[in-house]
Order: sequence, then structure tokens, then C-alpha cells
Amino acid sequence: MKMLEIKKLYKDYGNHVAVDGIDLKIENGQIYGILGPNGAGKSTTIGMICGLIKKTSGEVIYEEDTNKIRNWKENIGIVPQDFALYWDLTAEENISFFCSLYGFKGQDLKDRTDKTLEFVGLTDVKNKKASEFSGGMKRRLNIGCSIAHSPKLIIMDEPTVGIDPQSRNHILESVLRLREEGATIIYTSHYMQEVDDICDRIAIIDNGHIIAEGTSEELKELVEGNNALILTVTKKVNGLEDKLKEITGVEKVIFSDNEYKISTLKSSNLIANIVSAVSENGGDIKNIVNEEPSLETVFLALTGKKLRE
Amino acid sequence: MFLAMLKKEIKQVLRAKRTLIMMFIFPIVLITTLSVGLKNMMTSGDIFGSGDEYSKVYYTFNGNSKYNEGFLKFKKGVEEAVNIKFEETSSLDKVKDQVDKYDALAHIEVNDTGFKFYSSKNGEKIKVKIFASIFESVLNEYATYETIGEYNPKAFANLVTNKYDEYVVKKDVSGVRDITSSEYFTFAELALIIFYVSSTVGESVYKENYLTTINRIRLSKVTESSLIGAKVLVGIVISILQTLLIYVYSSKVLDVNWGENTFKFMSMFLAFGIFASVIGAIIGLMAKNDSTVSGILNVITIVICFLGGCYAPLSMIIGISPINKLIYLSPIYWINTAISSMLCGIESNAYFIALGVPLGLSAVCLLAYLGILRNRGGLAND
Repeated sequence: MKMLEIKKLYKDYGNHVAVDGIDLKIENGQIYGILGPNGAGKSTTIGMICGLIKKTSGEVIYEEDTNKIRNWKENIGIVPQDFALYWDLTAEENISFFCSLYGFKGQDLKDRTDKTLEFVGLTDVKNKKASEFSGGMKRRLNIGCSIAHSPKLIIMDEPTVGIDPQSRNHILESVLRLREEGATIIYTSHYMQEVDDICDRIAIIDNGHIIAEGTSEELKELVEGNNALILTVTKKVNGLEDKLKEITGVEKVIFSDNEYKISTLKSSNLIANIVSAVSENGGDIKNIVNEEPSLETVFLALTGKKLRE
Repeated sequence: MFLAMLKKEIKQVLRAKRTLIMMFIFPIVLITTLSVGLKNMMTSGDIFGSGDEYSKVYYTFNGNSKYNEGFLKFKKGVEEAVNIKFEETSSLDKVKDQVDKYDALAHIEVNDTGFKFYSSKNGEKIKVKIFASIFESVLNEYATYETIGEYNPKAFANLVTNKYDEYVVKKDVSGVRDITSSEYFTFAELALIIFYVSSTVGESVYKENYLTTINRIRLSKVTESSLIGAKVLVGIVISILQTLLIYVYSSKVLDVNWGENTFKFMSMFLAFGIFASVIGAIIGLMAKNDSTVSGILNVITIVICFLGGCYAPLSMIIGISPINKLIYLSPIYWINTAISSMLCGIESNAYFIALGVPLGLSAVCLLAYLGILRNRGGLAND
């Protein structure tokens, strides 16, 4: 079943079009990544999904059932990029308050609060004020406030910005656990690796459009010639570059700092041929690294390397 | 859920030490300081002056009216009883300027139909109101003016004295007394202090937008209006607590007798507290940054409080043109006027205006809020 379906979503601010006809389908229980440079339209899209930004046109359908956000909004948990916390309240008070807004009270509320604190790893500091937390703890509390009411759809907007690796790792593990517990997650980030690691499907947005959509592997297929083989040798071999270029499937050969960087067509499996060619020409191989195309490569290839706003 | 929001708001207020000091300690200090420091600015001694500093009333006989002799007897009685001197003049026009500038209390024209009373077009000061009340009261007590002449002038003078004493008594008699500086500044400054609640509410509302916690609220089962309502309610509760605190302190320490009108006084401050909270919430919703919130509310506070007589007694402000035209715009003016009237036992409709103006302005603010909500669209995608 589709948790969310977006049809021709459009947002025109008058002086510019932020979202220009986006279509998306997100299945129940997926972790769906949305990538895009700054100003691509990610936050606007998320805002329209939640009903926090009024759409100019288009449709958002929730659980194949309703397009009325008012009837469905309680099923959404939003983890905004900026902290949405009360700094003068403790961690427990923050989570308890936001959970109570969904009608939970008494022992049920207390149990949910305790469970959420444990989930985000803040049980030991539950009586500390949010203002006293480190960056990683604030991020975890930010997540806790969004999930205490057990939403069906969790939208996480760059949840790991500016935190240490341990906290990031904890958050990513928490996201996977949430999926195991049945939540559907929309995840946006600029950290390509984490999107690649945890997302089932990814959409790349630029200038208000979806320019690519699919699994991580499907997206990597889109970018041609981005297999790279790096051979570290003891010294340069004269004429070896030309020899290697003669091998079918080799696109480019560059030598630098005792390394031959060889670009090949993705579909080719040329390692054996290349190693033979190096050995036959007197090359002494110290190390071989086969670089598969990364999501970052795909992203930069599709959106360009020019700086954005 | 509304209770949860209320609980959260109260927690936040109680944890803001600076706010607590401003709301509850500062008022005590302010009222005490002003009461003691500005004592001499308030009326003391005979309300109509003492010794050579008498109050003047002009009169004109317009023709040979049957009321002339009766009026003269009234005049004599008043001059013997209180420190007022009457002076005849040929017409109102000659002395209108003096009356308007408060150099004279009033002008009375005696004609065939009775009496025509003229006081300053710039508004009546307390002593003018008292004189007018005595004048009407004495003349109304006797069904026909012809009977005035039959009275023994001495008895007549006693009558005027008794009437004067009813309105201005130096002892602690319930509801009727001279206005002391403690009384004046207790009520004037309480209104000022209550209005500062608007800043607390305004900044709290603004912060919800700034912190983006408002988005979490919008996605929950409660509405943004409920949250705003909880903040306004906490503001009203603060104003009630401030009123009770000042009531206890002024009664016990400053010897201010709130008299039999305590409930009426408190109801005016409650209405004012509602207005302060509501306007604070509206400004907090509309502001783009926190300095705008504090800036706008500070300006409104200064204007309303100045025009209302919080920084200087109304008796001073009322004589300053053109400011004296603007004072009626301030809810605090009506509160102070209503309180002064009630303390002096003067009947006026200032009490109802003092209730109606802040509640009416609150209703206007509510309409503005509904307009803002409509403009924003609230939750979309419907």
C-alpha cells in the first residue's frame, strides 16, 4: 500500500517557482531519501506534504485514502532541520508535552515518554534542560519529540547536521529501528553516504523537479563511465598509459603520484586485462582499488558542481 | 490537552526569574516609591484650596429671575462653608477662557428657567466635579427653588458643609475621601504593571514561531488558537495575581482603603488584564522579529500609560493641550477616572466605560487575529 502519493505538486511564490510538478509514490514501511542542492525545493515539498505550506496546485494523498491533511496530520511526525524545542523545559518535559498534544495522558503518556527517552538514549539526562544539551543530544531530543506519538509517517529534514559520528550513528540506527517498527520515513540529507546506507529509494530534486528517482543502484546506473580502477605502482612505466588505453573498455588513463587512475565503462570487468598489461610492460603493482560509482558522483553529475544559494 | 498547554506555560513563566521579579517585586517597589516621592503632587488639605488660594466661581444673572435671590443665598452658604469665592460677571464669554484654563471652577448663569452650569471644555478636574455635584445635590434636594429663601442662611451654610463633607472627608470613611498619593499611584501604577503582561505574552507567542515549535502544534490534535488561548489565559492569571498582591500590600502597608468598591476596582483591572494579554498575543503573532515585539509594545505601553496618568497625575495632564484631547483614548484614563469618582462618591459612567473600552479593544484584536489566520491559511492542502 502506498503511504504517500504526490501528484503534480506545484508551488509558485510569485517571483519564483519552488516546486514544479513533482510526482512521488512512497510505499508503506519505506525509508525514502530526498536529495537536492540548496534551493532545490526539498523543504517546500516537505512543507506541502505536512500542510505547513499551502500548495499552489497538485495533490497529496495519504494512505490511498484521503487528501485532506486535517484528517491525517496526527499521523505525521516531523523532525525539522532547526531544533523545535523548548529550551527551558527538560528533555522529559519536552517529549511529554508534545506527546500530550495528541491526546495521550496519565500512565500512557508517562510510558510513551519513558520509552521515547530510552529510544533516543536520553533516559539518564531526562531531567536536564534542553538548553544544557550538546548538539548530538539536542538532535536526539528533536527526534524524540517527533516520534513519541508513534506517527505512521516520519519526515526527517537533515537530522544529523553538525553532530559527532557517535551521535550520527545512533540516529541512523534509530531510523532503521523505526522502519522495523512499521514507520514510513522520508529522509533528507546532504550526507550522501548515509542516504545511500539507509534509504530504500531515493529521489534527487533540482530546480523544483525530480531529476532522478529509484534505488541507489538504479541511480548509479544512470551515470556512465564512472567505474575507476586505481593502481598504485612503485614507479611510472613509460608508454604504459597508451598501452592501457588500447584495452577495450578503458576510457581514460591518468598517472599521478605513483598511481594510475583508469576510468572504465561500468559494464566492463577489465581488472585481469589491465593487471596483465601492467605486468607485461614491466610495471610493479603495489595496490589495486576498484572504485564503484558513489551516490555523490551521481548527485554531482546530475545537479552540476556549481555553487548554489 | 488545553490543560497540558496551560501547565507548560505556567512552568515556563515560573522558570523565568527575571519575569517573576518584573511581574511581582517591581510593582511593590514602584508603587511605594511613587506614593512617597510624589506625595506633594497630589491634592492635600482642602480640595478647594486654603487661605488666599481659593477657588473661584463666576456667575451671571441673566435678567431679573426668581432664582436670583435663592442663588445668592446658595453663594453665601458655599462661601462660608468652603474656600470658594463667587464673582459676578456680565456674561460667560468674558470668563470662558479662564474656566477653560482651570483658573476658575465654573460659570453659572441664573436665568428664568433655572441654572446653566458651564465647566472647562477640556474636561472636569476632580474639584470641579465635586463642586458640580454639591451644586446639583443641594439644589435638587429642594423641590422648588423658592423654598431656598425661606431657610435660615446659617442652616443653609451647614447644609453645604454637610454636602461637602459627604464628598470630601479626611477620615477613612468607606468609599468617600480625599485622594491621597498612595491611593492614586496604587491604582495608576497597577494598571501600568498589568499592561506589561502584554510584553510577556507577546514574546511568548513570538517565540513559538521563532523556535518553530508552532509547526509541531499545528500538526497535532490541538490548534494554534488553543496555544495562543493558553498564553492569553496565563497572562490574565498573572494580572489577577498582581491585582491581589497589590490589594494586600496597599491595604496593609500603604493604608490604602479600597472601600466598598473593591469588586468594581478588581473587575476593571481584570478587563484591562484581558486587553493587555490579547494585544500582546496579536503583536507576537504579527511581529517578524523579537525586537519588533518589544519595540511596538513598549511604545503602546508608554503612550497608554502616559495618557492614563501613570507617569504624572491626571490632574496635571488634563491641563496640557493637545494631550488632554487624547487622554480619552487610554483605557487607563477611564480606570483612574472611575476609581477617583468612586472614591469621591461621585456618580459617573466612567466605570462602565472603563470596563467597556478594554473589552471592546480586545474584541477588535480578536477580529484582527481571525484576519491573520485567514490570511495565513492555517493548515493547507484541503
